Amino acid sequence: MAEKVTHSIVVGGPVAIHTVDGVIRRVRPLVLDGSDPKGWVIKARSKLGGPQDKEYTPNRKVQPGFIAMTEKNRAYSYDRIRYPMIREDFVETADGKGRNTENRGKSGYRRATWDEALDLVVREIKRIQGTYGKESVTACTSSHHSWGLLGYKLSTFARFFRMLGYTEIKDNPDSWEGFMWGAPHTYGYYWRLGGAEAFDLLEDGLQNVETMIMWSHDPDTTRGGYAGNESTMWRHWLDDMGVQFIYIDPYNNFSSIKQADKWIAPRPGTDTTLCEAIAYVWLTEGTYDKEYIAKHSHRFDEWKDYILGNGPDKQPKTPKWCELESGVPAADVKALARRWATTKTMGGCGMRGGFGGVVRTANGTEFSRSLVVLYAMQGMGKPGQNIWSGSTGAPMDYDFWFGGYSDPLSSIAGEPIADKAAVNVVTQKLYRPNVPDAILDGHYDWYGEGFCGGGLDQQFTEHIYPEPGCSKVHMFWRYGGTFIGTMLDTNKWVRMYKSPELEFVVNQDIHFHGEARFADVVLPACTSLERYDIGELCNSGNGGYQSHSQTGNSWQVVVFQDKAIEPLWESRSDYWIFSETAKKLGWGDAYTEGRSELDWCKRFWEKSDLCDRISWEDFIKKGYYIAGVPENWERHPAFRWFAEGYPCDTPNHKPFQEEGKLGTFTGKFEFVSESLLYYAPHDEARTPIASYKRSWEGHHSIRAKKYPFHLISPHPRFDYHTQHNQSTPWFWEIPENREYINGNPYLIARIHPKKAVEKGIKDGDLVKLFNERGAVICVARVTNRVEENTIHAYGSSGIYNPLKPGETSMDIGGCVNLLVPGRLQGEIAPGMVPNSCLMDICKYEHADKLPNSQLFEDKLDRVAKEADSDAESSLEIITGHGFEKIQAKVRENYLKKEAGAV
Amino acid sequence: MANKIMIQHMFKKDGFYKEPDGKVLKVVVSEVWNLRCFEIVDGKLTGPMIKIHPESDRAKALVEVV
Amino acid sequence: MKLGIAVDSRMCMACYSCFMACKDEHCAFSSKLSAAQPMMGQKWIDIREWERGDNSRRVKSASVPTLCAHCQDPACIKAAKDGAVYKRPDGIVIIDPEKSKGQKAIAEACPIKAVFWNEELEIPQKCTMCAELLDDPDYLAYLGDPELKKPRCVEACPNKALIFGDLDDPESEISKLVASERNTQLEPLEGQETNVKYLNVPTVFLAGTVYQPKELDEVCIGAKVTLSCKDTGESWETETNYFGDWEVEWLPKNKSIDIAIEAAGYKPVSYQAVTDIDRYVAITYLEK
Repeated sequence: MAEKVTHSIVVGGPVAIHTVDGVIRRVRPLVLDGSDPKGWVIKARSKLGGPQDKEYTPNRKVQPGFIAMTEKNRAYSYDRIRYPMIREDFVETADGKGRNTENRGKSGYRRATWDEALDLVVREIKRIQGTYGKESVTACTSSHHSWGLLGYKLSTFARFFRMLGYTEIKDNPDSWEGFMWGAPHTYGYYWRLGGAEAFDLLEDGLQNVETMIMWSHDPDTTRGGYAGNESTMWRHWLDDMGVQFIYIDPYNNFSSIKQADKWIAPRPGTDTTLCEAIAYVWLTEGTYDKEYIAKHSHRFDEWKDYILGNGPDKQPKTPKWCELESGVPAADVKALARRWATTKTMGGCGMRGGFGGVVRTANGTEFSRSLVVLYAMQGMGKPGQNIWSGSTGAPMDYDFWFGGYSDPLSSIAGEPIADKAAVNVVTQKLYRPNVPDAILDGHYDWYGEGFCGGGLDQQFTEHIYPEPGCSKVHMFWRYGGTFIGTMLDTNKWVRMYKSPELEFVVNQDIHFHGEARFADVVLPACTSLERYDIGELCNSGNGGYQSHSQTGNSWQVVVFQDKAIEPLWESRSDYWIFSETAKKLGWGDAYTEGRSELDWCKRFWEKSDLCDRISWEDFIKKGYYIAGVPENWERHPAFRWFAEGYPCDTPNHKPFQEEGKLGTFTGKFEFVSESLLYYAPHDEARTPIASYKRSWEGHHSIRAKKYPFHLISPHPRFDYHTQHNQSTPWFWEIPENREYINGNPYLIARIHPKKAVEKGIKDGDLVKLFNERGAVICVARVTNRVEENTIHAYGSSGIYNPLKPGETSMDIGGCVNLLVPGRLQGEIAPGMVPNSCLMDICKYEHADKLPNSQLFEDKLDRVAKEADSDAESSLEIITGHGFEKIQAKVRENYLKKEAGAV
Repeated sequence: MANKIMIQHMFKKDGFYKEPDGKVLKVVVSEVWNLRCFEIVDGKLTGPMIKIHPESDRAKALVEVV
Repeated sequence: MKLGIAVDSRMCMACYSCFMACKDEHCAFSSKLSAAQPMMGQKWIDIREWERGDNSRRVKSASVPTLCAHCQDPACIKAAKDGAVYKRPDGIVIIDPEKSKGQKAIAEACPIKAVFWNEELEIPQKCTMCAELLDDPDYLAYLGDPELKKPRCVEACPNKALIFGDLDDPESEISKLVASERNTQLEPLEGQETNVKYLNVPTVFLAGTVYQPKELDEVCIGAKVTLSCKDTGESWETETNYFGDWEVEWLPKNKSIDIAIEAAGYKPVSYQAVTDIDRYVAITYLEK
């Protein structure tokens, strides 16, 4: 009964995995031992105005998000895709027609062997590319469907598809749209995709800040993106020393409810009026940093005219004007402005200061630009004055280089990790939010490169699909996760899948998620606990975007993601799946370069600083390496160089570092944006002076007469993207997440008591959220925590259960993204806008018509029983002893193998 | 408090630099505190990641290959 | 040695890490000390939360991770027959998974509903303080420090809302915390000595905002707010802050409280509010 302890890192963070006899027993946080380095020590105040003599240091454990502790359950869950499967009524016709595509989503599946499945895939690739051209194959993944440099989409997936040649689908900066498309035109930072730098700001905050403005920010929910609960204690330290926290959000979110000294709830889409009214107060009362503005601003006076009512619209942006739009009392607006002006204030929108649901609204770009301007007016970069939202900026060992997932240096698709880089010969692209439009309409055009880190100009590149001379796409290989809960107007994805334009659809996933059920061939991938990988906590790329995101952690840790158990059932690692397919296509050796997964992991160790710090043998034995912060590390606070006028000394990978300049055309804060005037003078969404514009799906819209409620669907608290909720029933027992009623876990939707009374809705009632795009059944939570005109329901539902599978029918899984508009922020600003959505809500009176299961379990159960007559059913696994049975079988086989090997 | 090392000017990312012994290095990371290269052999990034302190003698001896 | 857990409600962010760690440890796995927790339906640690405030102007929430309190004089032991429940020398209370078969009364006896009835196995079940792990010398031996062995919930907590240790050692972290923080025993256990210490569980707050005369659209900063309770004779004084807000926490429950608001140059205003629930008393517009 020997217990083995290995480590891994999952999207929730690093974990220690205990395995006994070939099955996982428990998953725990990574607790440091005596040999691990000391943590950093920051000396700061214990209360506002007090001496800087208290020592702050992190706990000696790395804090994952709570989802990490479900990884064992997720591995053995009822919804695992156990075997390769082929759609029952799929027909391999010679011309790609007549394949019953209208039944996708409805049809059941039959089990196939790996050879059968992959041979079919390869035949179809050859046929389709042979008939139409290489560009007729397209593929995409979800963001962060896994953690680890080998398995990440920019690595294993990218290597395969670039070598194959395919139409790449560009990601949009979905989590921070308005900030990326807007903020760089005010202050540069396009190389950080709009995000501000945060170096050493934790210390600055602990030592200096007096007010934190948490705008559209729920740090204990968004967890620094990938930093788990590493920064939770930091905000408590600030709170305990008396720092005032002001949360601005139509929902009194989970951080706000615990920490807010003041909660301000503007009507969704009106936040920019609050920015402008704050500026109005500062301008009229003279309470802004005039010297700083004189030195560092461009065309400030024209913007000042606009705010004061001397601009073309002649509308002074008074607090009263703001109140009429946003619902925030004018007196409170003034009080907020004065607090901000008279105290050292830091803050920002969303995690890292440049995210948040507010920027995913119709005019999110204008909000982002206006927010940056406010921080500029108070001397951004001076001590205690910065864009810093309390979830980044910890000390870090900058001298230790290990790649992040977006680093081209840290991918098997490129050098130096691979001997030969994979190069995609196809230039045609698609743009993720509108893939269904492109497929269904046969045409799509858009601006921008999605992630435009290479320059401001990249936001304005022009794209058309199909590219002249290119074929449309006819094969779609979808991998990892499901978009039905995350993208826009997602009934379009349902219609797309049923279209005969897509002659062949492959889905590769771990769990039988919403999109997997539309595929012709389903390939079972394994979890990262069942394969080797290597990765660093919260490292998105030191050369790629938002570099040094590790400042969101208390600890800098690289983990050897040991294979804890063998892949379950017939699942395989993504790398194996692509290697085998490449082999069948005739270029297996070129793909693998003769390397096993473990070999590739060693390459990452070899081609970074990791090999200088720890031997390979020690690394895989210990399972992780923690880079300690040098005791008297050199401080280089973010933006301080700009405020004080010396060359930028923060570790940016900005191409040019001119003397104290920003990455704008003028090198200053542009209150009138020269880059917009240059690239997009006619942009209706981003005007040269950022300004409040009424949302095209907001309370002034005509449709508000029919659909009077704003829906906001922020990033989920109780999941990571779409990955955990479907698989682990424990989530369904969390009252603020879901309620498990008669076989289905309904998502919580929040409504204000006043509106609930008007609608006859009581707490716990089943309710229907709907507009012309779709309908979703949720369970109502009647609460004072939500702005009166707003319905709050978390986005990214990983559970999708249409009442009529395969039809654009009502969903009982909670995919509120079915309701959100497909329109982007602007003609030229291609950002998605889930938070400008109008809908209505009513009590759902037909509970008797609702099914008593999730409607897909039977498809899996059938295939499972076909393979093993003794297989446990989904229901048994969810509520009974199925999990134990699965583990018992695996253990038995493991022990047999061990005995045989001896 | 300003760190006067402006290495992005001195060592361009993706630039090629020659060492006195004839080795050609490609700069893959050029940030204020980090200068990292790989040796280029037959047009390929080869060997371990080379860390050079931007104020070191080794750095001073690098000549840009245009 | 008296092993215990301090639950500091003030620090709890309701992140559910403790909840998941407990499920991960005990669901579908049995030990010498307990049968497996069923996959769904039991919450050996249950984040009991309630929204505080009757108005959107001021809303807070209380989160109390609630587990078996490992009482000194447990009601479950009293309700048990044949020694089915016992308290160990280290203070941990264990329900014997075999001897307790059929004894539903054990589950029904718990004043804080921390004992669950397993319908299938016909046994009562609850938190074991992960005693089976604490007892196991091999558990976490690889870390090289026995002090690092903790109940799973405590280990998972990122915010020091759960602290484990020896209550008999005055120098232990838990003892120091219990000595310095508000001890707020759960109401159904009032007066009882328990090994799980519930700290900083809020009582009731009253809050409000004071504005200058309505037409001015200005908050009133520094207005004096005095609360008094005739019943208990207590009084509280505070001032409105930079938003004109005032708030008093830790009020006695279910009492009538008189509120007096004074600001120089304005007519004084008074209210009365009952602390049956947390209340936002009023938006006050001062008059000259």
